[in-house]
Amino acid sequence: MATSLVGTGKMVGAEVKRVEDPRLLLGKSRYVDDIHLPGTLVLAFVRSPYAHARILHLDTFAAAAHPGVHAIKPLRAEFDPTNAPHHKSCDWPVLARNEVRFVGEMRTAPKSNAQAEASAGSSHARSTKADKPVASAIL
Amino acid sequence: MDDSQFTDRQTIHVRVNGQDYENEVEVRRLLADFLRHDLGLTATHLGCEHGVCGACTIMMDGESIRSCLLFAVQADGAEILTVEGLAKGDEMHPLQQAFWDKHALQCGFCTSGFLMSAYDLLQKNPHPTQDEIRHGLSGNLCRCTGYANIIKAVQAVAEQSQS
Repeated sequence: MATSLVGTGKMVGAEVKRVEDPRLLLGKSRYVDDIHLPGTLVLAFVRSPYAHARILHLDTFAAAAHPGVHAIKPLRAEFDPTNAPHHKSCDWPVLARNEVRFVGEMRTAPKSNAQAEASAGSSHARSTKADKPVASAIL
Repeated sequence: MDDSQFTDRQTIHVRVNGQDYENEVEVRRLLADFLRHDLGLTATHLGCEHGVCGACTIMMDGESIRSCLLFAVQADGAEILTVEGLAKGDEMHPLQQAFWDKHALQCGFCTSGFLMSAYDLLQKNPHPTQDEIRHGLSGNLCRCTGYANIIKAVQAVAEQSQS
C-alpha cells in the first residue's frame, strides 16, 4: 500500500489504490445534483423553436399559473449579468431581447421548486413571433 | 398542449435491487429521475439526458438500458438492478473491486454506467476478447480516466472467472 512505499523511492510507476474509490464505486458518493437543500429553486430556460424570429410579445400568464412555478424572468436590464459590476461586458445578451437568432436560443427563465415544474413552466411561456429569413449551411 | 398532459399520474410496481416499490408517478417522469428523486437511488447518474453518455445505464429485466430514455411508467412490472445493488453488503462486486484495483476511475461520475454495461457484457459473454470489451463499453463515455484501465479491469474480472 501507499504508506509502505513512502520514502523508499518506489512510488513512481507503482499501482497505488485511492482511498476515495470505494464510495465512488458503491454509489455512495454525493455530487452537487444529489444534494437537496430546503427551498432550493430550479431554473429552466425557454428556448427558441425558430432559427430567426422577432419577439413581438411575451405571454407568461399560463406559465406563471402553473403549480410550483415561483417566478418568471424575461430579460430585463437588472437581470442581465452583462451589466453586473466587475464583469466583463459582452455584446451578446444572456437571454434574447428583441430577436432570436438560432434554434435553442434562450428567451426567458421560469424558476420552480422542482425540475419537473420548471420544465413544464418553460413549455408554457410563449411568445408571438414572425419568422425572418434564415441563412443555413451544412458544414 | 393542455394541462392534463402534465398532471396525469399512474401507479407503477417495480422491483429495484430486490426491493419492491409501489409508487405513483407522473407519466412524463423519466425512469432515471424516478430512481434518483423518488427512490433516492443517486448512484445512477445523469450526464447528457439524451442517450449519448451512458452514465445512467441500469439493468432492466436482464438488459442494460439507458434510464434517461425510458419513462418510469415503461418500467411498470420490471425488475431493475442499479449500482446500489451490485455489492453484497460490504463486499464489492468483482467488477467494483477490479475498477478499484486497476485505477479505472477518477471522478467516478461515469463509473456507474460503465459498471452496469460491463455487468451486462459479462452476463452475456463471460470471456470476452479485448475487442468485445471495447464494443461492449462503446456506449459509455469517460471524460477523465480514459478507457485503457477500464478495459483492463473488465478483462481482470473475465480472467478471474476463467480460473
